[in-house]
Amino acid sequence: MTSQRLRKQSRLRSDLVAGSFLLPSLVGLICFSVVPMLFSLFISFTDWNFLKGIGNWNVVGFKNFIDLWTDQWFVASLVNTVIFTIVTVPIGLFLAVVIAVLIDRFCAKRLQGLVRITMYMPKICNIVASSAVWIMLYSSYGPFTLLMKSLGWENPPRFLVSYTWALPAVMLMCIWSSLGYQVFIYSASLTALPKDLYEAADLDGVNGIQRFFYITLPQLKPTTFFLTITGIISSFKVFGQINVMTQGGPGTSTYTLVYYIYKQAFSYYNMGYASAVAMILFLLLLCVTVVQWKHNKED
Amino acid sequence: MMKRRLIALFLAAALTLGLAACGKPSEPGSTAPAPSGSSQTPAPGGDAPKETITLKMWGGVQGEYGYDALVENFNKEFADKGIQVEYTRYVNNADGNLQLDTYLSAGNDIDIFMCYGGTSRYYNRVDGGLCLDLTDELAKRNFDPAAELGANNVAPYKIDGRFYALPTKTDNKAWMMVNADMFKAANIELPTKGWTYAQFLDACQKLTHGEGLDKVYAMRWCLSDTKDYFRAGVGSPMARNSIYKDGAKETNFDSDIWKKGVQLCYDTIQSGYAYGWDDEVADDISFANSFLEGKCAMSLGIANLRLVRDLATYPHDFQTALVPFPVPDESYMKVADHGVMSDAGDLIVVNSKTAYPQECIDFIIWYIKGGMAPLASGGRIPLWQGFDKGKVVDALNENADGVFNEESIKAYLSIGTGFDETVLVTDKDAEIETIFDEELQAIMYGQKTVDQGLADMKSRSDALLG
Repeated sequence: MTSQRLRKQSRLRSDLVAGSFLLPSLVGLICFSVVPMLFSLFISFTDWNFLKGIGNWNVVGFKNFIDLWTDQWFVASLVNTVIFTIVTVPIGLFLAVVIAVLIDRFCAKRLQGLVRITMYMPKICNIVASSAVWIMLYSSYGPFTLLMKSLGWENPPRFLVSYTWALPAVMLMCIWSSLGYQVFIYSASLTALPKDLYEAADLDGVNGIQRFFYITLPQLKPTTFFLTITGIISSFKVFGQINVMTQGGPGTSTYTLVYYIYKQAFSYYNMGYASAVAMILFLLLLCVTVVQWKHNKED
Repeated sequence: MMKRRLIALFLAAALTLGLAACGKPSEPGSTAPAPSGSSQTPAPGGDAPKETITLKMWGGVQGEYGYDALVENFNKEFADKGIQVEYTRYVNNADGNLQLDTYLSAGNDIDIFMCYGGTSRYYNRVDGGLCLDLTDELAKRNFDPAAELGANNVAPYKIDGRFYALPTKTDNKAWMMVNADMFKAANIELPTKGWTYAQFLDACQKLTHGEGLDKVYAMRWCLSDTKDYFRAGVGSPMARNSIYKDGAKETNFDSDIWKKGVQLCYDTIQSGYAYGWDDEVADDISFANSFLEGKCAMSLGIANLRLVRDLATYPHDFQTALVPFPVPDESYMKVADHGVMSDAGDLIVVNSKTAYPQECIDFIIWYIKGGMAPLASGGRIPLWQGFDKGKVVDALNENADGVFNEESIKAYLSIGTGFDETVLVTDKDAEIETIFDEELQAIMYGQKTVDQGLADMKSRSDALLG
């Protein structure tokens, strides 16, 4: 009886210790994530204007959610975001895996770390700073334009002010900025791959390309899946580059969902409507996360 | 045991430092902004210390363009009354206004602020309860806004018979700056009394010359910046309500005047007389690096007048003149001076949450009745009826003699001010401005014809109003 009570006391104490460690994070999570999310969900059903202060709103039901689908800006933002994701995620992943394998196979062991760190730099650079550099790269007197002119293209496009080229130009910049991180993750996975598979393949006379497609890629499937999911989520949330490089223009050619949320919330102060767009984005990301969750469970 | 004590000591030190960092700075020389408030200062003669109130003012103009001198003058004049002012500049764009609104919504760190952008932003701020009702206090001080500033000028800012702000300056966005030397060289008379689109196009042809980096353009439409000037110039023949009609139930974009104005802009770009929209954005063509460097002969953006006289930063040796935006044809010459577009702007507002409403109102009356004179050198012409406009010419010429064509400045100052119709506004003004920009851009980029672009501009805007 006494030993049972002691055990109970001991468990209570360890629970209290664990709880005290968790409490700061829990308070932060509740204050800065859960409450704002619930508040955002509530105001998505209102017509709240930021300037009118908290409480001065009318509940409008599903009006905001219905209006979205006839809103040209929202439709353009959704389409651009989907295109952005469909293009940047696969291209980024393909380049990352190829570069990671090339570093692993052909780079001197001593230099591998340095190359990976160098490639990782864009990821830790401030988005505003790196976007400003890319604006200069894309300018009329920048290297891209000069390169095209030297290749015989008389009037190369003005990337960031072109209806056709602005979105691809921002996509290229985003692929570049996330490439280092993806290479880093792939490189870590490559070092953990079983060497005996490659030795067996060498004995069977497999060439480099066959080795890449039939051994390396299948073995990297979990990593690829993880990077695909995180890539989709970050592509859906792209904002900084758009805000600095194009501000959604020309026209609506580079509007994305998060940029449109910002515009509605902080340019027009339509917090209710902006929250409705944010809820749609939340649902889209929730679907992606559920897929990842299920996949992890199956594994 | 020792280790535990050390950890406890470290945590206590970290907590103390953290809390201290969150506290109010008390050391002199701190760079953190202090909230508006009062401090004890010794009164002359060594009597009991007198309380000095420091009012925090936010405005969108750099201090060196007049506000530094204005604050210095006020602080000298009001030192014995225990009122001082501190000026902070915010950038008058979407981000800057968001910053201002957030500060205003959060508390009383700002006592007085300048509100720009016409009635739309002002109405929103009044609606949000951010602006103090000045009406009764002004009456107590025998300050009649209609008599002091002009009845027509203050009418748009009166809401249900109450004043929550007062306009302080006048300008006319439908006027533009031209390089008088280039006009003279091309043998074109300065059209200070007005001109037509045909005459303007003819001048554009004569003023454009050169190729490549040496090319001199006739016109900069200011398309990469605010389109307020373009809207004011083109829409002026429709008077103040160029955007809305029928009680703001629909927009005016189907008007023939819009069609002619947009077509004019498009034609000048296509003919190579003016920078294209994409040129302005991609090559970062600003007023400073085009007009002030002698690379274009005419530019919209009358607010840049202050840069013209800043010879230290923008050295140039040509004379700048002011001329009105052209009108579609001879039948509009009677309104070619755009007097109806003379705008009473730069609203001075007191934060509804200020702790010092009386002192704030003392300040704004001082500001309006001549205190803002130093701003005239930056091109901001005081609206107060008692202000001698002749002083504006002197202020503009101060340290910049010969930079302006005096005759044209006098013509600009002599145009009528005010209007007598109600300006229509809606809570969709900001969105409709965005639609205007997008459709105008599509036209200038050749994505849509002028007719198609204007039709889409109207249908999209009307859908928002509906």
